[in-house]
Amino acid sequence: MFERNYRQKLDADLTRWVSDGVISADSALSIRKARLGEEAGSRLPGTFAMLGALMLAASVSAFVAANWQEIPRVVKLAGILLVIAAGFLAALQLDRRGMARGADAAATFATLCFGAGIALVGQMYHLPADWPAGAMLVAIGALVAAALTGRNGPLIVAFAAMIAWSFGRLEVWAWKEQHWSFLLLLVPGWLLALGRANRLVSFTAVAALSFWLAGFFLRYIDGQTFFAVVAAGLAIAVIYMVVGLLSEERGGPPVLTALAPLGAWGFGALLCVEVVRVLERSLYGKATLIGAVFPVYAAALLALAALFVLWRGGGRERLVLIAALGLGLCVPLLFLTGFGHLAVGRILVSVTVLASAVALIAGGILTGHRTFMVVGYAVFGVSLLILLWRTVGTLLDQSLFFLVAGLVLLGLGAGARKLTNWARRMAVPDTGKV
Amino acid sequence: MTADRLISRVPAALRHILAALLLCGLIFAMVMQRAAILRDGKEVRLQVVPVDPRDLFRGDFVILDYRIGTVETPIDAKSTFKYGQKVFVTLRPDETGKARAVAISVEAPTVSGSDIVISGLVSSQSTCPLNDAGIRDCKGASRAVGVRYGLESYFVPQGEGKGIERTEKARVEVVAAVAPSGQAAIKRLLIDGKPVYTEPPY
Repeated sequence: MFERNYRQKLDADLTRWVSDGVISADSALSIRKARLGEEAGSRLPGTFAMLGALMLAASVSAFVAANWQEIPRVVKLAGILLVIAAGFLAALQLDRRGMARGADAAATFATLCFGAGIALVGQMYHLPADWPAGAMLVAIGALVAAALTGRNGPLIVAFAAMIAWSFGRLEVWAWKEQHWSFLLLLVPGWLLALGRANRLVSFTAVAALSFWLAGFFLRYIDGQTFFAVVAAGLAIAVIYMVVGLLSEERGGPPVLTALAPLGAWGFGALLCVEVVRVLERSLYGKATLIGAVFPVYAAALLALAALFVLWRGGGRERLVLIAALGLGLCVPLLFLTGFGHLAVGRILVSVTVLASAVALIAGGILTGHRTFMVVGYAVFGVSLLILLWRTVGTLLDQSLFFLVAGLVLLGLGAGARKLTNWARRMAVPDTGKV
Repeated sequence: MTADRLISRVPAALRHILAALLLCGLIFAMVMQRAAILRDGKEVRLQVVPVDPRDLFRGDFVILDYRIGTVETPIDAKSTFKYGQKVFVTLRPDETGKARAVAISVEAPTVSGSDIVISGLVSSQSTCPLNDAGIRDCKGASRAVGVRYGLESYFVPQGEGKGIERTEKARVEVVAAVAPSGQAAIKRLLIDGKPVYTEPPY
């Protein structure tokens, strides 16, 4: 996501610099070729090919589901196997002709037809509906296809199937035990994803990892320990953001860099949950700690320390971002004070969330990370709406709360302006001219 | 070195052919395993209770709830079965030829005569047993264990499930093939004792 934002900004800047005469059109073209890669127009055939492949796979799947008896089932099975083989051979041919996206579409089609083949066998032999097992088989096949063809589509299918596999366990209450066998597919999947530069691969890989990590805490989601689930989620989100930022600075694998924006959105969503929780009496329970939270929190604090020491690219401004994350981590701790059910507790939690959101916006602006800024604005806006919806004390108290918060922010704005002007004066050398 | 670079040392043609072979092989292995049960397994007649839903990828199917899906345990027996645990149920034909569950154990028992051992997974650790009419009876002191055998779904062409659903449950029965390992597969679906659907191995 950062890479995309950077590209968009660079493209806009190049256009402005050429019109302002800062650089020549030829220079702009060279920079575009070097940084922006292939033109968007050349991506269209591949995109349409992928959409077509998805449609064809859906057609095969619906045909299997129709259970049409006019064709003997052995012929249907042979047809599916032929389609799978043809899909991989088409991928090979397209790859040899340099049509990488077409090859990706063909390999994805073959992988999805493999899923249809699994469904056909289940239908032929009346195997009972078993989502987790079916999804696991599809994930295995898709991983094999992703590894052998080197294509991204099958890898995305594999991660999606892994999530479906783990999600299916929720239905049968198996989620009360950690899904350790998930690692048998997740680890090879991540090993492949580390070498791929595809946004969707990165997002699905992170989603699968997050789903597995959530498994440690899902069993505590009800009652008093819900507090601990949100706390663990915030800590994991902070770790994601730190790993993502450090990976981005060091030119690490895209899948690691993608942890930063995804972690930021998770961080923001959980802060909003905390505001809802402290204001909604029915959701507020006595905060009970669980052992699993301590190592995650310790790791999050270590991650913040690592960000302070290792993230040189963020400059001094990184302190603002670290403050935003630190404040976010403090929110669950406020629940431990037991003040949550009192007005003072509600105000403390709301103020801390808003302060974290403001710091996130400032940190995003200062370090040039638009996603953090957008997440900060989103948390700020949503928190404001929640606070208006669920009144803290009386409406007069509410009005006073917003008045003070508004004045503090205006003060911060004025202070920031003075700071910027001072920094500019310091940056321009004195020429001695009057 | 990334995993992709390591794998890319194998020629592309070989990798793509291998992908096709492995994925097709996985499907083929599933087919062979199920076909072996239908081809070589012992037959057993089962009384059913059907309803009619739809699976997203496999189409319409009839849910078959079997009488042997509820296995009575002795009154003095302590419940030693856990949800999802693999169990072995001994089936014995009654006077009408339909199988009744007469015993349940964690280890595969040795049986003789017309008894057949079928394997399943515990779906309910404790439930009310069925009376002679096939209705749950919670008045007595005895308890039962719910067991699923992998025979609970029967896929039919679109729209045909309703016909089976409307049929009086006492008229529907299933003939299943049971492998020596205890694994079972549906072989025939009968209404009034006449085969409506027959499943060949392939």
